[in-house]
Amino acid sequence: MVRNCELCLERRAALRRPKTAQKICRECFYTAFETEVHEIIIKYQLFKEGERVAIAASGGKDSTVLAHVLTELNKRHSYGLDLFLLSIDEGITGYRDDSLETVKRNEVQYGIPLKIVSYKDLYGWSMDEIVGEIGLKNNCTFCGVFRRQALDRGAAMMKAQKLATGHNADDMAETVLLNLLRGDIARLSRCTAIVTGEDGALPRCKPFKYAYEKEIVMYAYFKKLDYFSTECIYSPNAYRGFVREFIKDLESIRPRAILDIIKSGESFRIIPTTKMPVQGNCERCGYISSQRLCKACVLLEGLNRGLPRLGISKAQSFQVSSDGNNDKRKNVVHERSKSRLVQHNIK
Amino acid sequence: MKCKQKAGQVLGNQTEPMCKDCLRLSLLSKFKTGLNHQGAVGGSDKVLVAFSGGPGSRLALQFLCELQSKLQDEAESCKDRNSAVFDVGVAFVDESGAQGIPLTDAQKTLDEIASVVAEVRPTPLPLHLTSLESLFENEVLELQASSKLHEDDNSGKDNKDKSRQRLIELLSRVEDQTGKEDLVEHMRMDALQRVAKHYGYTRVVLGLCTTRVAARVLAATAKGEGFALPAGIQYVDARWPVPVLLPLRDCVSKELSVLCHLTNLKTVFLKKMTAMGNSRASINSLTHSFISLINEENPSREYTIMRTAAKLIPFGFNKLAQDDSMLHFNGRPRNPHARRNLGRIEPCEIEVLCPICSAPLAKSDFSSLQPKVSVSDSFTRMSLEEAFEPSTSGIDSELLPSKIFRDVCCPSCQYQIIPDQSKDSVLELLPLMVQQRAAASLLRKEGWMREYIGDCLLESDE
Amino acid sequence: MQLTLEFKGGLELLFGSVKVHQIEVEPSDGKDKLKLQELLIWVRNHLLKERPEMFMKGNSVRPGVLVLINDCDWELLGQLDAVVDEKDTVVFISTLHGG
Repeated sequence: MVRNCELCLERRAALRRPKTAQKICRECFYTAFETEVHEIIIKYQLFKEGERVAIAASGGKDSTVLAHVLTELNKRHSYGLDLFLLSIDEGITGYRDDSLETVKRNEVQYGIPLKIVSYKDLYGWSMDEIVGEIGLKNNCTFCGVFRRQALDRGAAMMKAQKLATGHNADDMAETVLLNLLRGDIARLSRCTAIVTGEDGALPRCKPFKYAYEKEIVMYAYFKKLDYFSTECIYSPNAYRGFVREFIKDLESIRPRAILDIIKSGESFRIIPTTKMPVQGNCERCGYISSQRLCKACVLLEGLNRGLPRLGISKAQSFQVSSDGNNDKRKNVVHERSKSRLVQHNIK
Repeated sequence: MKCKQKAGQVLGNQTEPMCKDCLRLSLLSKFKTGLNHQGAVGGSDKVLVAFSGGPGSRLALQFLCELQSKLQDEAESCKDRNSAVFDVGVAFVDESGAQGIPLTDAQKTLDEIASVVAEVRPTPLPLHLTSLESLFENEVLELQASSKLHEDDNSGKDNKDKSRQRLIELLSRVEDQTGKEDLVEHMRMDALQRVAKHYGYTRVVLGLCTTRVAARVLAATAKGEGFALPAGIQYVDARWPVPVLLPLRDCVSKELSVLCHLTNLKTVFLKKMTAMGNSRASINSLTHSFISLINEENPSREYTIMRTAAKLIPFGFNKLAQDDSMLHFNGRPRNPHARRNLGRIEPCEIEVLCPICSAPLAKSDFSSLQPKVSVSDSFTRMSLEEAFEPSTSGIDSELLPSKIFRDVCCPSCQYQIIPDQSKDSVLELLPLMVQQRAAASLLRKEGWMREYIGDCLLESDE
Repeated sequence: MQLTLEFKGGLELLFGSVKVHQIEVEPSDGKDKLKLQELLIWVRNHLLKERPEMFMKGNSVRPGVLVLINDCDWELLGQLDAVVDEKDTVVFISTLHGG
């Protein structure tokens, strides 16, 4: 016996909503999903009218659905936003090539321009080259640092005022738990914020903060959205896997547990006296940094000098000259992106 | 290797092999540090150890009695008539009613518990056996280990049966498995508090260890209890009429279990709701098995979780109130500036507590200011302490309207224990003391709200 | 060889509620020492009365179960590669719900 949608009572129910367990039709699901994102955008004032917003696009489900939904809501509710897709090419053969093709298709499908920025352009090294140099032990650290800066630098190059990322509720819950497990109390206090870096030149927001990963997948599936999903080939992280599985299990016992974890993260009260690093600028490239040299410059210094562990472990003491003359070619490239940063007032 | 003399026997949490004696010293030293936090136990205290049968509470009991005997010897040898040594008692809460365990098996467990407790020290320890269903009885009745769980006279037996039935009925009406397990835990604490208060104990000691605290931290996070989380994981928890201490909080369960085994301390395994069952049955069992899993990957993980949570800001009631006498727990003056603790809470720091689980409520969880509710006279002017006494003014049958009751409950209890707004089915069976606490919390909440909007209130004849 | 096995912390429930077991087991391949790995499999096949997943996970003990050989932590003896000898005592303690 096929039942009707609980919400509209007219159309046939096609799915059970992971967040609420309601049995609803596709149209009501789209409406519910899109409306919730819209309400979050309004409630937390994520955007200002006329803002130029970079959508971090990896070609994966989160960013594809984000691009689709933002484009749609921008039209429907007249946010007046100037949207474009920003994609990072880490230089991982076989992985990134495919997802970049997806993003190129997204550009056409959603009618918004695409900008691709590569690690090679920004830093002089691709991930393949980095792994070739340092192996598989700390490559994720490199990629994480480089990606973060790449998004900021790419957005700055394109004169964006805000960056929107596709982090979803499951990601956020995972981050809260990981910070608990790692004992990172400082990160724990900041990680549930829906907007970060408001005091800097490029604030980032997470419109999908309360959207379940399962619902994002369902949305993409039913709407037949084009996305690419594989694990990064360089990323076996068993530890994160445990937490992911724990969250999945929690979800099956009590779906709202994911949102409850986020709520807990938001309610943690942390002693504010822990040393807050003073934000300054990197001497080499001008990127915002609490140290003399930003993390990317430190890592690059290590790569260029053939000292791969530089910048990974805390106990390193080293002399880094601020003009870094060791590899002229690579540093010239880095200089180029530096001047662009300075031009656009990125601290 | 710690002492570098004997062979290492256990790979402790410190990842350093330890022999039995070093392990013992390490755990004892942590216990003493935890116990002495804020000078929580002094010579005039009566300490009740909540014995669960497990290695944690068994060791807490063992260490406490050894400390007591050492201090008594010292007092005697010094002929110091002024230095009193604390008293020790043991309590056990029978939870067979919640597990569906038949009375005959439950009796066997009680006998085992009694025999383990009898071995702890030469002079027998006072053992108070109580049960979850005792919360439904007006007087603090005690089970006798030697006699049956039923009373011999019929009227007593009827009462006991009725209470047990009520317990079973109450739990069956809680549909959420996690909620059910949590409700049992809250009732266990209430039963302990009742016994402690009745027999004049001034402190309750729990054998809660790092491992279980870590599991609690994760489970509480998953239930959205992030605000209240710090309350139950500090060394001292003075929300309760009799303050609760967690001196073993920094000891991991592996070390406790191994030490019990190596020193031949008997433990009793109790089939609890979360034990030996399907790990996916509830959030509690899932987090327990998750902790075990990540400990395999890194044994120090549970300690990190506990330490991280311990860095969250605690509440006012996580400190004992001060007064002017200055005693160390061995009865000798510690230092001129040390203060003795009475267990009272400073009035300005009183939080509004959930009547079911006693979690402090976040102001943001209160619904917006409601019109002033008329609370019947019999509920006015009731303090937290009075709420623990059995009813004195015959208000058994008066229930707070469910909407009002729910408003002072924490979001977690609202969701998992009393979810159905339209029915009072669970509410009407909760122990009376829960209702009384709700009334007290309601008054406190109104007081807080009045203060908050104080400058807007006009003169009125209230 | 003759061994004494003890099950505590609730594990005894899986072994007929008997805590101490005296067993007789022969190492395979005619060797005179028994690896713990082998012993575990023997226990699962011959002694375990119910719910093997509560005691073992894959070929080792379930997370949360401690193993002591002659009162020494197996982590100091090589875990699954530890060897047991005639008249040894092996203790299994579940710490899953200690209190």
